[in-house]
Amino acid sequence: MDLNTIPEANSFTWPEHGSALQPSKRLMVGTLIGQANTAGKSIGSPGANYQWDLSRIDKIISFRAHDMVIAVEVGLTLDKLKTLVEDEHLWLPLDTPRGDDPLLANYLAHDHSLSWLSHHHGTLHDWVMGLTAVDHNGHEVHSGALVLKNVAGYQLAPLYIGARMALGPVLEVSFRLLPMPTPVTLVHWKADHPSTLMAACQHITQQCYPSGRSDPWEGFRITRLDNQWSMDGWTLYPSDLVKEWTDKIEGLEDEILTELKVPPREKHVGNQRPELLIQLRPTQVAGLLDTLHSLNMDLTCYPKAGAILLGPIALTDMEVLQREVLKPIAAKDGRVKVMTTEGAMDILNATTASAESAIMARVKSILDPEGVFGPLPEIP
Amino acid sequence: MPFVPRGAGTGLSGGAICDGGVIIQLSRMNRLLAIYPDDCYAVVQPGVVNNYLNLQARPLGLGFAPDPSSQAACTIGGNLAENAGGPHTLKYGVTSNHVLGQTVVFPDGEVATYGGPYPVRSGPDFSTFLIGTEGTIAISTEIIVRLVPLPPDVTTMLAVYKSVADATDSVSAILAAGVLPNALELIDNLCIQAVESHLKAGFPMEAAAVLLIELDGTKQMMQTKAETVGRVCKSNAAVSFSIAKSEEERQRLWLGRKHAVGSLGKITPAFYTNDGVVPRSRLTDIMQTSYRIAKEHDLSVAHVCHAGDGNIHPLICYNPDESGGSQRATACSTEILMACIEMGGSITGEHGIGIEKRDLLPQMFSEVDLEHMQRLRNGLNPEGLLNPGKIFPNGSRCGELRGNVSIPRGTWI
Repeated sequence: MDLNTIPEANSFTWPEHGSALQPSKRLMVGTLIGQANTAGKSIGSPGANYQWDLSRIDKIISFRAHDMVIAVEVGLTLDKLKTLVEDEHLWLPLDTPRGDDPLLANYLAHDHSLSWLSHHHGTLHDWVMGLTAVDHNGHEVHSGALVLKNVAGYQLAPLYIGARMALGPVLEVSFRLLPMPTPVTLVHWKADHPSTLMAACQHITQQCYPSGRSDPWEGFRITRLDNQWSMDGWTLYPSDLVKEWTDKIEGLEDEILTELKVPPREKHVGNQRPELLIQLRPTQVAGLLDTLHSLNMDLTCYPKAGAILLGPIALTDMEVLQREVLKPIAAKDGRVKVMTTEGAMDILNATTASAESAIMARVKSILDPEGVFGPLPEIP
Repeated sequence: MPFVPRGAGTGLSGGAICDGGVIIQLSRMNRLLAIYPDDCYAVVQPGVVNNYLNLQARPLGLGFAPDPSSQAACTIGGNLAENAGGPHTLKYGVTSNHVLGQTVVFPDGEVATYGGPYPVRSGPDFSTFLIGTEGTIAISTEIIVRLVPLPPDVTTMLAVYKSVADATDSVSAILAAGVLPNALELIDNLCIQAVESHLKAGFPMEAAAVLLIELDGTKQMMQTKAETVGRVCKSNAAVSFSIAKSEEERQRLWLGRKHAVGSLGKITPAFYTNDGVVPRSRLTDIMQTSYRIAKEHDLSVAHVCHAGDGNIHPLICYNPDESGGSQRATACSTEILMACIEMGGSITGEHGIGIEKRDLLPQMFSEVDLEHMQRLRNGLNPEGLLNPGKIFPNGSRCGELRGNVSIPRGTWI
C-alpha cells in the first residue's frame, strides 16, 4: 500500500491513556480505527471519520522478572519490549518476518507474529496472557490474568489477535516470558534449488536426534529473493557440533556460521513485503516449494511451521498463481490469508467465506453491534 | 430444555453438573480417528481418554503435552472445556497451546469447523477462544490436537526441605538461574505422609516439603542444567538433593506425585481442593497464608502445587459428618482464593469456574468485564440452553463478596 494514498480521517486524537476514550468522547465519532504504524501515523480505512493513534500509550504497567511476566501498553514497539526483557536475561520468543519494529498495537492488530520461531514457540496466541481493550461503549474491558495459568472467565485474546481492532482497540497486553537461551549458533546457506535446503534441514534433524522427532533448530526459514534460495537458522547447540552435522551436506554454498550470545532477530530480506500467507501441513511444503521454484516470486518459508509468505505479487502473476498454487492448496485443505492492510485482494474475491469469517462476523455483531470500529479482516 | 455436555466427569468445579435438563454424555465418542506422525497431529473425538491418546502416540515418538492428574480417566473434550494443564505445562503450556482446530456444534444445531492441521495459529482464532469456555458456547465433536516430540532424554530430581519457605524460595531461584524445567512440583508434609502411607514413592516422611524437578533434552544439555538446579536448591537450604538413577525410580516419584491427591483419602474422611494461582514470587506468601487460614478455621491443609506455574492445590481436610465441617472447608477455600487475588493471581489455573467459583468471578473482573464476556455467551448461546448457570455469577449471591479486596493494577490483564 502506498502511504500517500491512505484515506484521511476527519478528526484525529492522540490519547495518552484509555480514559481519554470514554463515551463522552465517542459521541463525536462515527467510525473508530485503532491502528497505528511505526511512524506513529495512523492507518485509516475508507469511511473512517475518527482515528486513534496509540503510540503515546506506551507505558510499562508491570514487569516482574522473577515471575517471567510483563504487562505493557500497546504503544511500545516490539524491539523495545524485547530489549527490555533481555536486559533481565529473559526472552519473548516472538518475532516478525517483516524486518520492521511494529508498535505492539499494530503487531497485535495484524498478527505478524508468524516467524522463524513459530515451529518451536508458536505465535502471539501462545504468549499473550491477557489484554485490556475498549468496548463499543468506550469502556475498558479486561480478560486474562498476569499469572502463568488462568482459566477464570472467557479468554478474549484469541479473538482480538489479528482482528485489526475491529472488535475494539487493544490498549494493554500481557506476555509470559522465558529464560534467555544462550549461547546460540547462527547459520546461513545458499543453494540453487529449495529441495537442497529441505534435504539439508531433514539431514540436520536426523543427525541431531536420530531416534526421535525433536528439532534442534530454534529459528529456521528458507527464503527466495531475486531467484536466489537461502536458508537461515539458529540453534542452542555449539558451532562445532553444528559444523559436524552440516559438513557432509552436498549442494550448499556459502555456509556462514556465527556464534552469538543472545537469540538473533529475523532479518528482513531485501524489499520483500509478503502479501499472502499460505498454511499447510509441513509434509506438503517441499512439494509446494518445487512448484513455486518454477514461478518467479519472492517468498519466505517456515517449513516446520507449514507456512509460506508470498510476495510481492505482480498483477501479471495473479492468474498463474491462482491456477498453479492456490487451487491445489485449497484441494489439499490448506488455506491462504491476505497479509496486506488493504483488505481482500482481487485474487481472493471469488473465495467462499469460510466458517472462520462467518463466526468472526457474528462475534463482531455481538461485541460491536453499531459497527463503530473498523472492518474485520478477510479470513478466507 | 437445558443440555449439558459431559466427558468423564472428572472436573473439579462442577462444569458438567446438570441441574435439570439432559446430559449429553460424550464418553462413547471415543475414537482416535487418525494420527499423522510426520505432521505431528492427531484427530480425535472428544471422548478419547487423555492417557489413551498418549499410549497410542508414544510408539511414534510423540505425546499430547497436557497431563492433568486425572489423565487416566479424563477426556480430551473435558481437557478443552477446562483448558486443562498438569505438571508439564511449565515448559509445554496448557491445552489451548496444543489444539489446532475443532469441529463444534452450536446450541441451534449448526455444525462448523475452525482451525485446521496447520502447526501454527495466525489471526483471530475462534477455536482457541472456545477452549476453557466450559461447554457454554458450543460442543466439540472432533478435535485436531498437536502432538509434541518426546524428548530424547529426561532427568528427574528430588530436593528435600526442612521448611516450606525454603522450597518455595528455590522455585523462583531455579528459574532465575535460567533453567526452565519441564516440571517443577511441590508436595508438602501432610501430603507426603499420605503418599508414603499408601505408595512408598520415596519422599522422606520428615520433610516439610519436597520439590520434584524434571528436565528434558539431550544428556549433554541436561547435565549442566541439573548441576545448576542442584546448586540452587542447596543454596536455598535443601537438606538433600538427588537425581533419579533409574527409570523405575523416576516412575515411582511421579506415581507419588500423580496419586498425591487420591492418597489423601488415607488420612482424612474428606477433603476440598481449590486451584488458586499467584505470581511465582508470591508462592512463599500464599503457602504461609494458606496454612494460617486453615488454622483459623481449625482445619488441616495439605498442598500439592504446580509450583513453577504458581498454581497451588490446597487440599483442605475436613469431616463432613461434623456439624459445620463442610461450611468451614468452603469458607477456608474461599479465603485462600481471595488471598490469591490480593497477591495478583487468579481463582483458577486449570480446574475452571463451573458452578463452584462463579460467585467469586466478580472479585477478579469488573461488571463491565463480565458483561462483555456474557454478551458473547448470550450472543452465541442465545436461549441459554447449553450448559446454563456455569462460569458467570447468577447475581443473587455475589454481592456480599464485592469490594473486599483491592486488586493490583495489571492483575486482570
